[in-house]
Order: sequence, then C-alpha cells, then structure tokens
Amino acid sequence: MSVRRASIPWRENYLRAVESRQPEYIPSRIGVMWPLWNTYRERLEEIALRHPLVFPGFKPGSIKYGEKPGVLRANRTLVDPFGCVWSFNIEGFQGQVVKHPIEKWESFKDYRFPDPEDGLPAEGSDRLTPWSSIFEGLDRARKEGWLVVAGMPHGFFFQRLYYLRGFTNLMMDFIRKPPQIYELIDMLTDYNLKLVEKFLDSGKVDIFYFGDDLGTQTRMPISPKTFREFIYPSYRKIFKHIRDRGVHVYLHSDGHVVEVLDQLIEAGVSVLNIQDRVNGLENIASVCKGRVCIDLDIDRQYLVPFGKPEDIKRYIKHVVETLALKEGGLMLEAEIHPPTPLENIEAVAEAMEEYMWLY
Amino acid sequence: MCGSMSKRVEVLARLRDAVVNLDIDGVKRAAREALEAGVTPYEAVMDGMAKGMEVVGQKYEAGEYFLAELIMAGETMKEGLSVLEPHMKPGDMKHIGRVVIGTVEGDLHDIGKNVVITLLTASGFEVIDLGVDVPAEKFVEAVKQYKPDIVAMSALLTTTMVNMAKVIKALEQAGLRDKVKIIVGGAPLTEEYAKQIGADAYGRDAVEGVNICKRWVSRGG
Repeated sequence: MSVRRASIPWRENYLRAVESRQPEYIPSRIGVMWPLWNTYRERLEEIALRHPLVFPGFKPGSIKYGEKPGVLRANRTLVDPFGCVWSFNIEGFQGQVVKHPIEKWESFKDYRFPDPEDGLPAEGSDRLTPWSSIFEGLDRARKEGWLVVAGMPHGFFFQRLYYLRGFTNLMMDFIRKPPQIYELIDMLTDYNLKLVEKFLDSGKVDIFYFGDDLGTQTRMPISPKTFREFIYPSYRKIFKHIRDRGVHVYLHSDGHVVEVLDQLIEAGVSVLNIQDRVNGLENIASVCKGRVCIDLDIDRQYLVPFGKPEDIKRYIKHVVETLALKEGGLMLEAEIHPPTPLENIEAVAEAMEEYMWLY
Repeated sequence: MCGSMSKRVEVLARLRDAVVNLDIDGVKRAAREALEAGVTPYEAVMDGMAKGMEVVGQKYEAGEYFLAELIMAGETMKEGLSVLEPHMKPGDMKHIGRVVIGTVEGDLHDIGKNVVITLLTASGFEVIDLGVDVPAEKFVEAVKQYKPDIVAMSALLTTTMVNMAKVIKALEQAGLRDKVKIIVGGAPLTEEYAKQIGADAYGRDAVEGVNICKRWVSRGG
C-alpha cells in the first residue's frame, strides 16, 4: 500500500483537529511500549518506517535496546523529588509508589514540595529536569515547526495526592474530610500553577499535556460528587489559567471516567485522551462528540493484543465512523503493550493510515 | 421480645449502621456497647459489622457507593475489630474459608488486591496475602503450606496477566489444582480469558469476586 502524503504540516493539521477547523486527516499515532520494541527491534522499526504518519518523527536507531530481547526484569527503587519511594520491576514500564511521604498527617507540617524554579518533575523519576533543557526542547520544536508541547508530569494531581498520602488514606480523606486534605490540595494546585507559569513565560506554547489516571476498569474510584468537591476546582483553576492565555489543554486519563466527562469538559480540557473500551464508544460519542476533541485510546487491553488483524481493522473503521466529524475533533492513539503480535501492530498502522482520511 | 433480646438487636443494628454509614468514630462506641450488652465478639462481627459490609457491597453494586466508600467501610470494620479482638479467645473467630491471594509475577499493582482482601476479611475469610510480583512457585508453596480453599490472583497489565496461566500450570504439576478453586481479576481480564487459562472464575470487580468466593464456601467448594 502506498503512503498517502499530507499537504499541510503535521502541526497545522493537529491544531485544526483540536480546534475543529477541518483537518486534512485524523491525527493518529502509535506508541509502542519499550518492552515490545525490545522484543521485535528491527522488525518493528521496519513497520514504523513504512507508516511514518502514525509513527511521527520516528528515526531508526532512536530506540536503545537492552542486552537481550524481550520483556526484561528490573530491580530498582528510587526516591522522587516529592519524597515518594518508587519500585520498578519491568524495564520500560512505570513503577509503583511503595512509600508515601505524608502517610501520616504528622509528617505534613514539615512537608515541602520541590522548588518549581529548580526544574520539572517527571513521574517515577528521581530528578527534576532543569528548565534550561526544557526550554531548549521547546525552542527546537518552534524552529522546526513541530507542535510546541508543554509536557506536565503524568499523575500531576489526583495520582500525586495518593502518591503522597497512599491510596487508602486518600480515599478515607475524601470521606472524613480532615482540614489537612484541603490544605494539601491547595499546595499542589499552587505548585502546578507555578510549573504552568514557567512554560507560559518561555514563549509560544501550542498545548499543555497533562496525565492523571482517574478511573478504574469499571468505574471511578470516587463518586462524581467527590470529584466535584476535591479535584474539579483545582483542574478548573489550572486549566482555565492556561486557556485564558489562548493555549490548549490535553488531558490523558486511563480508566472509566464517563461520569465526570462533563466536569472535565467544563474544567477547560481541549483534548480528552481516554480509553475506548472501558468508557464505551457510545458513551464517548454522546457526551464528547462535537464538544471536545477526543483523542481515542484504541483498545490496548483486549483487541489489539489478543484480537485478529482483520477485527482490528474493522474496529478502527467503526471508531472513525462513530466519532469523526468533517470539521475535526477526533484523534486516534494506540498504546501497544506485550504480548501484542507484530502483525497486530501492522494492522493498527494500516487501518489508521487508511481510515484517517475517511472524512 | 424480652429486654435483653431487644438490647442485643439494637446494639447489633448500631454496629451494622456504623459500617454502612462509614462512621469510623462511632463504630468503636457501638462495639463497646455490644460487649456491655453481653453480645459475644464473634456475634458482634458476624451479625453486626459483617451485615453492614453486605449492605455496603449492595450499595456499591447499585452505584451509590464507590471504591472510596468500600475502603472506608473496611477501615471502619477494622476499627470496630480493634475493640472486639482483645475480648476474643483463641478459636472464637470461625473463618468461613481460607484464601491465598497475590498479584502475579512482574506486576506491582496492589490497589485492587487490597480492596479484595478488605472485603474477604470483612466477610469472614482468613486471607493469606502473598503481596505483589509473586512468582508461580510462591503460590504453589503457599497452597502446600496453608491448604486454602481458594487461590485469588490479580494483574493490571496484559504483559503480566499471562503469568496467571503459569501459576495454574504450576499448581497442576504439583498435583494441587483440584484442591483449590481459582479466581482471577484485574483490569485486562475477561471471563473468556479466565476460562482459557483454566481458572474457575473471573471477578469483574472486588464485590463480585468476593460474592463468588462466598458462594463457593457456602456450597462446600
């Protein structure tokens, strides 16, 4: 199959999709988890090279492989700049917080967030990236005509709260409502706003990327009412600050979030990156279509790893037919995990490249 | 109803309601009142707080309660137990069954597993928690050592859920597969996958999983 070429730059097309200004095609991309790159290596690189529109910016040799192919064990722990202790056991996968610095409120009175001036944190990293290095990357994107993305840390808010407190404690805080939880939320909001301000002061930014996994497989861990009381006000404050400056907000969340989609849209999200299967395509269409740009995370748990290539292709066509509008408002993303076979990755790439032009 | 009988009913209802209403401060008071009224610690747990947990489970299934409320109810019950346990004699607490549980090898996620443990304990099961990143051999050793009625496995990732099949295979090889019921759960799991790897059941969420375990032991396996 010959690769169709776009007539407008990738960034322009992306922004048209976000702003519903008739993109030429549906921006679509494949993100392969490192353990799979390490499994398939050159064979996967060949697929990426054959499908440049869905592996944007991929360069051969850009992936560093491990000593041997496959899913590799890791065995390390680290302390992040917030004082959370992380444990990692698979190379290329995010770790888990195993020790929480504010597990008891007694530790809170002396607790300090990292200094926002010292750099940008990343989830599961023991260091802050200096702003000089972040700004260099943004300048390069501006010069080369790529999308200028302010990449805020994944787990910036709800997850950070339970990284700090522990999941059980946080759930109890939402019910018992001790005064400290409100104080902690205010501190975390201010901290995020300061990071946002650093990006905004650096020059033109197209979009802020945020990630916060809000859902479990079947429902939210907290009720929409609890979300409204504890999380929504901070989201609204942070996102509104960005939107008031004419910059877009992209929010990724894993899990079932149907019950708070309205709140997320109301909070100022421009692009919502959510999972298809756990939320239901029909639900997503009825709440989001035409109201917010949907960046749909294609079924990474069932169909892509375990389905047949022809079913994957049929499904991606169905997704586009269900959610796409001629004026835009749709993107596709496939995050691919082991044990997905190589032919299924190729099927996702082929289907995306075929149906991204459907409208 | 005689006075002592009605008092008993009243204090057990208070214990049940404390759990249902997530009243972690009130549950200790209710537990003390139950003891003062001559209710045995075992009755206070099973006819009071555990009944409350059943209502909490129903509210969860009805969409009225969420994970936060389930966790809070579990913690409320623990708080009540902290008053009752010192008054229990060895053997007072009759468990309805024994479960060995763990997150399979390669996987560090434990939120779901811990909620299941809370609900299993609240339902009267004895739970042996093997923790996270548990290799197949460790499950086998635990089954040999503890002789559980049920083995429960959790995984959050497609990468690691394949290790559930290894556990089942290892139990087969050790001649232990027929001695236990096996239930699996976690984000990427399905009924179909559970069948494919030879598990006895799939729990869509913690409440469903625990209900299945309760049915198993009430039927005698």
